[in-house]
Amino acid sequence: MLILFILPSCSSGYLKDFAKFENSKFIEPIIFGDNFEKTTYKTNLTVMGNNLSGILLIKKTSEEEFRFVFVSEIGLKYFDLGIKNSNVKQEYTTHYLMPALNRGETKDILFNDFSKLTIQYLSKSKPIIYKQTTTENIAIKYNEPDNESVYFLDDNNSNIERILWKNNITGKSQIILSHYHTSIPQQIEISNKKYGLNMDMKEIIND
Amino acid sequence: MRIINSIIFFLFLFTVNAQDNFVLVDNTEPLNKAIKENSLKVFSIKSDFKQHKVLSMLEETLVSEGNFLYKKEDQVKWQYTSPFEYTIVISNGKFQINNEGCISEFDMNSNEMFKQINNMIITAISGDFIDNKEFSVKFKENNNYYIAQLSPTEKTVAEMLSSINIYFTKEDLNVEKVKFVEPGDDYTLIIFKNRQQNIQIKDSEFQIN
Repeated sequence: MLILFILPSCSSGYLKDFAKFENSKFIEPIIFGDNFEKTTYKTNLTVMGNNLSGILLIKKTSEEEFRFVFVSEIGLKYFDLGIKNSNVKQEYTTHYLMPALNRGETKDILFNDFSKLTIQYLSKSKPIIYKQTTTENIAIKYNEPDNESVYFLDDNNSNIERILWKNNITGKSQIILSHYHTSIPQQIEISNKKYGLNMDMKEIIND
Repeated sequence: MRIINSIIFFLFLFTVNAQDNFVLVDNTEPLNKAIKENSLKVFSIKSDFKQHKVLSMLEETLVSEGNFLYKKEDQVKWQYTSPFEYTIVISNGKFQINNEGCISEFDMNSNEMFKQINNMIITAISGDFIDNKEFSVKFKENNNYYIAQLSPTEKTVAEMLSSINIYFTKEDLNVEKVKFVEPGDDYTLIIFKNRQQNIQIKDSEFQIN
């Protein structure tokens, strides 16, 4: 039997109805888990008033690195971004970025959003677990030097269904994840209101 | 046994290289003339296609397929049917896109990039690149194909593409494959199949409603 403790509330604005929750046996779920190799999403990206559509390939290239490659339907490459874990912090590598996208904060927002999907690469420090007082849904908060991220789990507390993060420079984003197949969400929606960035992704299921 | 395996492996490598072994065409004048004459005869093309987007460093290939229509002078339709639905139509100076039911339209002149993409597509498919000042052309050949290797002269195009390789069958000088090579060696290879030429295609085929 699990021993659960609900402690008095101590939370950010994202966690108004939540209270700290201590459960030593709770394991944080991850997106694109250990057995994940790669997947593709039909993707629409709206950024700075431009609409781009195509295929987003997410590939785990090693135990430490993920690549996010976005190409148009006709094969034109928009970007190729790499996120690598290190013992100190995540390393971001721009393998390619179309000049039209290399403006403003676009690249930083994309890196921030994608890094949140590779949750296992987040801060090595222990996350803080919260539980909603009314529904018992769990939320997980990661505090990083420049970022605050909160992961909200679904009603079964098994999959991550929403991520909120904020950063002084790149504003804040909401990421909604749904239609899970094992650890892979088949739909992902990313929105950053401050910079008018929206990304809708639907996993491509090959016959 | 290990030695035999090694010999088989090297023989295999040699065979693969020999198949792809292209050499420069010395006298390009007759070939230029033949391709130009052939392109003048083509007023429409209907074909299926398979597209391979090769990401070399990641050792990944994204495959899609669909059908293609071309009607002289400048009407083109790419209809992707698998693994997603996406149609792009170029007609009367406009780009129309149907992205899974979401339709959008762009004036070609409003966007230099669309204009250049359109030019590249029509150039590659119709084989109508002789005398085109936007590309310098080099011809190569092997047993089955002539390749016209087009290098863009425009700086903005050269930033996106290092070359367009158009594969003409030696049998009838029709375009069978087009390879768009990017700086960094990633490329998009489009292979045409079930090609029908000079059939009647209605203008209404180039409208997205």
